[in-house]
Amino acid sequence: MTEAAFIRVENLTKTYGFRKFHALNDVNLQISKGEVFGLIGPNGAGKTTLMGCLLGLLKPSFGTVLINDKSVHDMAVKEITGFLPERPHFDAWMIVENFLHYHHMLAKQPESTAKEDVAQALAEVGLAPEVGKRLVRKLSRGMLQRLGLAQLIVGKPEICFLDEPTSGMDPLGMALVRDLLLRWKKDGKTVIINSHHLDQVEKVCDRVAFIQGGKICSLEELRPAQQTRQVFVIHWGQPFPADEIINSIVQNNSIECELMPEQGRFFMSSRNQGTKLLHDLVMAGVSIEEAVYERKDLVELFRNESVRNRENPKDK
Amino acid sequence: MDKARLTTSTPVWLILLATVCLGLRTIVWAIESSQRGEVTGIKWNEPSKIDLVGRDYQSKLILYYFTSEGLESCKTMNNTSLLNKDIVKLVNEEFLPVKIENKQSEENTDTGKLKKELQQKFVVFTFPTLVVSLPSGKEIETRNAYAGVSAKPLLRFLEHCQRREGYSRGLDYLAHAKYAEAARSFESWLSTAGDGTKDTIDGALYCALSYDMLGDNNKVRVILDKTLQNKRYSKDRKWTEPLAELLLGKLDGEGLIKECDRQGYREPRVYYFIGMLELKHGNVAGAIENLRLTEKGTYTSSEIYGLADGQINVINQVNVGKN
Amino acid sequence: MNKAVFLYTFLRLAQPATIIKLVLFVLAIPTALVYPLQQASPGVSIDLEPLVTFFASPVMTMVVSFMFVSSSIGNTKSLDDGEYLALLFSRPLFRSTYVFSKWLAGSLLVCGVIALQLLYFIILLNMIGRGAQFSIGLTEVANLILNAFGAAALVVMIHAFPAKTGVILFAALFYLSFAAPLMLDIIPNYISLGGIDFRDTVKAGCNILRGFMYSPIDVDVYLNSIKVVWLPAISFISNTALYLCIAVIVMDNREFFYSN
Repeated sequence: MTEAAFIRVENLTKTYGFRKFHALNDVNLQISKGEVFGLIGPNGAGKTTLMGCLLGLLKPSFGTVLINDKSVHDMAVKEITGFLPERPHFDAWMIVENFLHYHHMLAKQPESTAKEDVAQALAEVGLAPEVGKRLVRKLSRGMLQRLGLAQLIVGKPEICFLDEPTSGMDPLGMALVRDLLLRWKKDGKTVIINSHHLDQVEKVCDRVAFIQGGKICSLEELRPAQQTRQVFVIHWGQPFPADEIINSIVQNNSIECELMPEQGRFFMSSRNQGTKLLHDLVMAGVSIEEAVYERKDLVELFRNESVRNRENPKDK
Repeated sequence: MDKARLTTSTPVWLILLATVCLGLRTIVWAIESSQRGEVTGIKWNEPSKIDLVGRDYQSKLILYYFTSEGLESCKTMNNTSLLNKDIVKLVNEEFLPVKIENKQSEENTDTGKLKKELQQKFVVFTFPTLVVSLPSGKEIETRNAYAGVSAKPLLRFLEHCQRREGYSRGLDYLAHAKYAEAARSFESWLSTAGDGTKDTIDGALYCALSYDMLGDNNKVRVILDKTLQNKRYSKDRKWTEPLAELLLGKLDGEGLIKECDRQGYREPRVYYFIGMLELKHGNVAGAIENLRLTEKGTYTSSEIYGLADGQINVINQVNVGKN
Repeated sequence: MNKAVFLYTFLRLAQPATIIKLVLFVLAIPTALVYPLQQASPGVSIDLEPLVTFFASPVMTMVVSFMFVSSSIGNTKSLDDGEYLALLFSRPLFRSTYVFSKWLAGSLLVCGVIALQLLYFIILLNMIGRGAQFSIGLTEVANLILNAFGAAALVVMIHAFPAKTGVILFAALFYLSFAAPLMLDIIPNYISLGGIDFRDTVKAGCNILRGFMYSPIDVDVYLNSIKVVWLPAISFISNTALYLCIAVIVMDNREFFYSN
């Protein structure tokens, strides 16, 4: 991790009650600016508690949480923060437009842009303008979720905390959320997302933390930077090529490899090397069935970590 | 680095303000408690130090203030409404103020016994209580458990007692056969009354009776009128047996009514005495003359006015209509 | 003060059910008071001062605060009973500012409701020909405003506590302040420790507590008193400051596990 971590969590512990139930147990985490960071884990793992501490809604029993070297309660931090809660508990008596206007004012956005920002937010989340005239209590679950995104958007935050953003949404809604997140990522926003939809997390997150029993059990990179090694896996077609052919090509490309009868794993520093490798193999007459960059399978990760922690509770 | 502006920080000035005020409050409360609720302004008298029994009938009304040491409500009253300058002026000038403070230390003393007797006499069971009575000891009005900060209700109470003074004194005088004083009291009261109460009717009759007892006039006209619209009166049991009716009955029974022009209305048991009453002069054994009964009718609203000494004291024109 | 919180506290009152309740309340009491006046003869002068004082009294401000303004100040639950303060406090909003904004808005709402009642009362009096007998002094107006601020501060404090904690706490303190001393009078005094009367000691404690429950103020005391009376004013200011202080401290330290 770089020295200038945007969000820094150190030795964070959160306990409840007299029996000292540890919702979070010595959590350490650093998130860079502009990173899309995912939190995954089973129910009751502590994801919501961690997010609550990051937002300043829960007080840590021990440890520190800093955002841009400031306390999470600092006004400067709050001004750039947006939050989508897990359940859309909103002011049910309000009209949608008024609700968004209210949050626009709360986020200290200029009054002159309120109407425009509210309309734009509604459009961005796929809510028709006439929905703006309805009462919040009249909205469906999916629409409430979109409204939640809209109230986040009107605040024009730089850091977005999203707790189950696709909960209750239809496939179109999920796609909308994914597109939004990718757009935010492009805009350089820092996003912390807590979700059970692992495929969604896989598609948008740069890194993912697996939390269980209040501890971060593993931290995985899903979008490795250009400088780090990438693994190119090539499945051979029939007939399998001879090792000597592969080794000579690998030597020519100055890359390392792991050869198996049916496939080869090639370690390279950039994807350009992968293109050249493929070209050389094809030109050498090697039959290739499939060539794909190795990615972390979050479902597999989830399963493995859960099993590991169940079998070795002391690791927690 | 900018100074942190934490959204969860309590403003220091607010904590300071609350602390300072609490501190001041404790100090002021301690000082006022140590003063044992001494009330300045009103010149209170101790019951043991004045003669409450043999007072002159003409003397001022007595204001009894039953209080208890240490009670917060009494202290509140001492420090607020009883310091109001209008009340202080009124009480000092128009009343004889007597403070009966319930003290544990006086439990078995003569003073304590006197205080207990007064409490029992006026049926005082809670503090603070204000009682206004005539010099003879007859109670006019009581105000229980008054502990308000505002002086206005207390001022109204005292002014109300003053307004009723004439009527109450008149009754007191009548009871002691002081007919001249009774007549004058009722007269002065009638001149300021006129609010259409039962007492006005009775007061006028008592006035007439007083004059008759004096034998000063051979004719006293008492004309009373009352609106029929006020159904409240018809529902009030007291009104169904007005004192006026009893007096009339008594006078009638004794053969004292000379002339009576009386009219009842719809509810036969309810009579508002409407008419002219002429009593025989000289003594109570007068004769009834020209008894005249008119037919029932309805009446538009009008004022009560009393008539004494042959003079009509008209407040408003009487409009008389019929069904 | 936060403009959004302030404005939306007013908007919260403008809900159909609350408006109906409010209209009925505003209409009912003046009508009930004027009806018997209508029966009296027009020539008879009636003292309306007690009625005017009643509208500006601490009792009225407390009733209005708890019946109407309480929901605007304190209701922070969505339809499914979820707390939405969590979302609010993720915004750049000082929690103390939230408390002060609610207090200010609540006070103005109380004044507004009572002013509406008075206005309706004046209209009714004029209709029955007694408008000329009505007068409201500056002391009544000052009392109304000050007592409204005091009552609103108490309501804000109660609602600063999570869930129904504030309501239960207030009810318990109210019982101890008012009902317990009365009950102590009924119970025979058997307990005396070293000469100290247990019952009187407890009653004294209850009386002190009562002073903290709600201390109304009457400006008339200060305008027309023969000597300066400090305690009621200091009690009023310290109570109001204390309520707001407690509200801010509770809010500052409150946690929101927003998953519930």
